[in-house]
Amino acid sequence: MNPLLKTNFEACTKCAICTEYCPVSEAWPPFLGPKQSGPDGERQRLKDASFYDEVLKYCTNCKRCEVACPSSVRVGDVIALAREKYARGSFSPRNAILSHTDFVGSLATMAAPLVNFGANLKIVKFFLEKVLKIPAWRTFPSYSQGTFRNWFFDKGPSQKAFARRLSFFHGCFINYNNPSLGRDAVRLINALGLGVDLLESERCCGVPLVSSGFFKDAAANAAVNDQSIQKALLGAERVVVASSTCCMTLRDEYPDVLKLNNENWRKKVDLLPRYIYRLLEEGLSLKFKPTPMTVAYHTACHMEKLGWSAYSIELLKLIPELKIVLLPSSCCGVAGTYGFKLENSQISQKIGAPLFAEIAKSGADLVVTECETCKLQIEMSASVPCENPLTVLARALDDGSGGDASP
Amino acid sequence: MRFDVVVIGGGLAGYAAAIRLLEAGKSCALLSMGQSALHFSSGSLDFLNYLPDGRPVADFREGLAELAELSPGHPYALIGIEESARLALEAEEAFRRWETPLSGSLAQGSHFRLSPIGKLLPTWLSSRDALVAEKGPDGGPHWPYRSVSLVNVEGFVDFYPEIIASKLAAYGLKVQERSFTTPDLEIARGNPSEFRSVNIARVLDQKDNFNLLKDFLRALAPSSDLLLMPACVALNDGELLPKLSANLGKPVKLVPTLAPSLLGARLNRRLARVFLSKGGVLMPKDEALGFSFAEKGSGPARISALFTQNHEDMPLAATHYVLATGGFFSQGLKAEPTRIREAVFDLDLAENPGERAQWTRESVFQRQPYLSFGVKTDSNLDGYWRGAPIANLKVAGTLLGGFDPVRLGCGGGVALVSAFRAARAILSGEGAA
Repeated sequence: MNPLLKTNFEACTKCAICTEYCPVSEAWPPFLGPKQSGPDGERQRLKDASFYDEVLKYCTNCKRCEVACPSSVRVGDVIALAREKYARGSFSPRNAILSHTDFVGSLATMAAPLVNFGANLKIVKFFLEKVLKIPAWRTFPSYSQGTFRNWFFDKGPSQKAFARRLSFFHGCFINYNNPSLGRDAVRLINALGLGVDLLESERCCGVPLVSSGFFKDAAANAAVNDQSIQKALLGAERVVVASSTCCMTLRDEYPDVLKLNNENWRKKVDLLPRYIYRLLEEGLSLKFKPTPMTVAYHTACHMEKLGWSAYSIELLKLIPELKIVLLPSSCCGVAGTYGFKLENSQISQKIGAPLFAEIAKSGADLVVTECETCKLQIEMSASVPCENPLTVLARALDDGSGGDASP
Repeated sequence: MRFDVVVIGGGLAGYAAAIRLLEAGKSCALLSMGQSALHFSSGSLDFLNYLPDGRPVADFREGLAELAELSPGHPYALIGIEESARLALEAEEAFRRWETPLSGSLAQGSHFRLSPIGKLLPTWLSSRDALVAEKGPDGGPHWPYRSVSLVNVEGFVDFYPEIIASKLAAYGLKVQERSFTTPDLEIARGNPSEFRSVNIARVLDQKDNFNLLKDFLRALAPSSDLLLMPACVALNDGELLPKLSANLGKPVKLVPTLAPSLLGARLNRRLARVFLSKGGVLMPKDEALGFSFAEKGSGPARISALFTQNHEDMPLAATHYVLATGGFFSQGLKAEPTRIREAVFDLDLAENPGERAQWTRESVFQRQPYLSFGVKTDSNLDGYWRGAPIANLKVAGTLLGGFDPVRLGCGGGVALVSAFRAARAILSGEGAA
């Protein structure tokens, strides 16, 4: 079936409400906006491919247009499909480096201290900006010494004793940059009395590849993950994901943009906070110690699209003495690798400005969000630490072990 | 996931009911299928402008009494006319409490607002930024202004300054037309199909651009009693124009434009913000797909769970449900080949719509029967399913049957009155039991 037909694009009434909620066209009006880039433009492109406008690459794929649309048009998908079909950009080494997270991550974690040191040298940053067009003022994600997978198999707690099992899709950021979040996830799952498996073979979900136009590479990753997920579900009751973007990609972008039929497992891939909520409803329990601090919950764009913020928020409410401020849902601007491209970087900061102001106003000690690149952006731009709700929950766990309370 | 109340629908009625229930301490989730019809509205809320026989309503209370005689199925009549008037006052009070100030009140009677093509229309509540006129002793508009500067944004096509100017001139005002632009607006205009009110506002609301506008208006202020613009500024901040007016010493007012309409969108944004600030749980872009009844006891049926697009097999469970999904436009009602169906529960309709050929009339200006289609309720606003009331489902807003919001000019009023009625019924435990 032509994937365009699933986007419901003929239901567009041209009301332009999507453009009203598009963070890119607000920050940078020359972007055509979702209506014109999406369903309106598609009507023209169907007649003549020369109507394709390269400005579509400024779309961040945040999906806020789809959330706003009163007619349920999948505006973002129309744009992504058009980019795949019509874009004729030349090969960019910068985009290749930014989007091939597995390749770069595997190399970088092998020499993490050197890479982290090097990447923050002025001369290196100068080179990155001049040659690769990666803005020098950005804080780069630091790489961890050794991957999460290595920790899990070499040093992680034994998972043998558990009868019920979850398969954990850790994603690139946990594997190469933030293994401690992976450890938090394992700790929470074990505290519920379930064991953790990893996928036999896990590739990047593909979202950075889609954003940079590497659709074939993304589809190849999807095919590997498809096989691994099917295999994992033979032994595990769910595949659980910590990152909202990876989760949305596996469930929705695979069928809608990458044309992979995932019907037989789509509903068995879940965001971990949602699955924990389900386990608690089933009667399992977690015990939390009082944590007197204020956290501000930020709804990442893809979390808004999934519609599952409530599960994370309800879990956080179980922590005694934790005060939760809900930030008005708005885009932080980084949109994965988008803000790491020099040509987007000013737009990116302009998009995020209202959110940074809300964070400052909230007086929170910590921002909480399920998205790893929101974390990078918020920590850099709002100067407040930012963690996944799983980390907040794991730190507050009262499991008798004393826990790892230090940030 | 469990809540005291789940509200289905994120428009005027849904948000009003939800916020009222949150204020009373209920936990509340609200499902929204996308941004609501408020984005297509002027932002003024009508209470009752005309009677079913076409006569204009001069006095709200007399109008209500006549309405109850002529149209006993109208939600105001079902709820009771005294009660409806009381709930309308409760709504006025609530907007003040929600720091969402609106001008007008039932006690003052109707005032006039200006339509996007300059027609004077009676209404109940308006944004403080909207150009309104009190009703003069002759029944016409009473303006406290003589000379008006009408400032359009260059290249903005969803607004007709010539028509507005000629209408205002006919009401005795002296109008000078001006047009305004900034370098940033010129860039935005490079994308003409998106040069719409709310998008212009997003440019104009930025500090540098707003300062340019302020300077432009300041130059006009000495020669004007009123500075009038299309509603394409102040998208998020209801205090911006009152402050500007105070600064310039002359009122700056807005005229609603074609959709997307800023004053309506701003009301929607404001309600969403109040909802969140009171602890409401928003389920954005989610659609109710199915439901289950509680196990049959001796009393009337009760809904036990609502299944949705996003939550799949994890239903939203609540003690009470409020259905405020709107009419055909908002997809609360669906026209199938041979019947009209309420979209979520397939509730009973207030009247039998008859054959498909009878749903519409040929001329758009004739009374359109489909506009008064909607679901059946009783005075507690209980929804009915296969002939019997559902004990824990209230219906509010345009989804209600028995009235034509367009012809009577009462859509906003019915939304608020029914929302507060539904909230009150839930809070006091009234309803089928």
